[in-house]
Amino acid sequence: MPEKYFSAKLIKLILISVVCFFLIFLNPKGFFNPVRNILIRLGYPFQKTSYILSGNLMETFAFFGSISELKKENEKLIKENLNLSAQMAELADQKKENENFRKQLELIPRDKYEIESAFVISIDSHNSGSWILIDKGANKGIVSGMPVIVSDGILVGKISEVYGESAKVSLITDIASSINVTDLETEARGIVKGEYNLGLILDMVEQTDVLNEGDSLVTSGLGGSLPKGLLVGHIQKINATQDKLFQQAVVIPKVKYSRLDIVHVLKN
Amino acid sequence: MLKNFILFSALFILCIFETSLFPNLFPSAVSPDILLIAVIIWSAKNGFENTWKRSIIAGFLLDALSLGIIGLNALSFSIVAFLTGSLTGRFFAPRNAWAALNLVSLVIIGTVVHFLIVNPLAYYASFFNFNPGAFLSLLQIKKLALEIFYNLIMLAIAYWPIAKLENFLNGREYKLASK
Repeated sequence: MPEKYFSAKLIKLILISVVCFFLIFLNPKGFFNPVRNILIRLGYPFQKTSYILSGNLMETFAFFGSISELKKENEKLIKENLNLSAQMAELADQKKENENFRKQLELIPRDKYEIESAFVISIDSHNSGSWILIDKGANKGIVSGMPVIVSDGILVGKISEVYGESAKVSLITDIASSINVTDLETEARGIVKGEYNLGLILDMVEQTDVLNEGDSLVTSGLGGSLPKGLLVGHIQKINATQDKLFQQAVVIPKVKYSRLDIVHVLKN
Repeated sequence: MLKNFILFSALFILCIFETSLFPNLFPSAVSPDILLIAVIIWSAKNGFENTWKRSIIAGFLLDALSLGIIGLNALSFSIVAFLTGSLTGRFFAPRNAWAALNLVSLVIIGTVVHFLIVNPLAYYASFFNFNPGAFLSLLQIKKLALEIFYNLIMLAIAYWPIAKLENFLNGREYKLASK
């Protein structure tokens, strides 16, 4: 009777499962990194090519889908262009004022970063918002812990693993992510954490501090792992309850992580 | 030897598609799992005995290139291959009039099993905590439904090339054996 239930197939499956469980729990020790490095090096040219190809395909589909909207878009853009020309003069003054504020707040000026630009060649296919893979690695002097931004100082994540020619960036929406931030308007301090890869939560803000919906959150520089002044997101909704020790808020990230093409690694 | 090389190359390319091509084409949190589809098709056609090695290699490749936990997808694919082989042998005969519907059912079952194995273990092994409430939320159920839908579309697209590859490999073996 026992033979009927413990067939050779089932025994094989049980053995495979035991070995796999053993391997799963060996992962934190880093035993598999040499093998993973070899496979990633092997796959790097294919991954980069297929990611760029799929990006171009998406743009082509989007273009054909938007043809009917082009005329309306064109008229809208002409109007917008006229408005923007008028705003440019005003912005020149505001830029000067901004630089003065930065000096006063002791924020690092943008042009003092040593930046390494990189293409995104792969993203987390199962838990969108957890990590991306970029096409620069140890060969370009990238090390673990370096912050990663897009455009003009919007924080995207940190380098978590480095390979020969690529590197893994853990995004700020990853559940293990935790960033010290300051509210730019009220100077309230807290910690922004990833929430099951769905978004961001601002936590550990004292009840005596003030938070407003729409406020911008920037890195505070505490802890030393991230420079001060990188934009993280905006407060969408405040969860204020009297019985909790700290205030919480829902934060909207500034960047759509599924649409990243180029990112910049801050090397200093 | 050549057969193994062709098979490994095919698995490698499918893995590249899954980790780099599809995530950009499907910008939601879900993309089709073509390696899972391949494992299900192979184990439905050939049974667990002839497919377990491919399942493990496919799983390891996916774990390595998706920067995931080594062993996780290998475990899941092995279990799915075993389940598919057993169900095909007992309930879903491969060459009856309902063959297409049987395969669709196997893909749905395989996707659900894969989802239930990989997601909790991935959270637990990474963070040593697992919140059943969050895991069973409506969002995760929607994610599973979307994954089943994409996998069924991928089955329709990928069945013919994968079946052709299998026939080609079996044909080579037959030719070598008859020499």
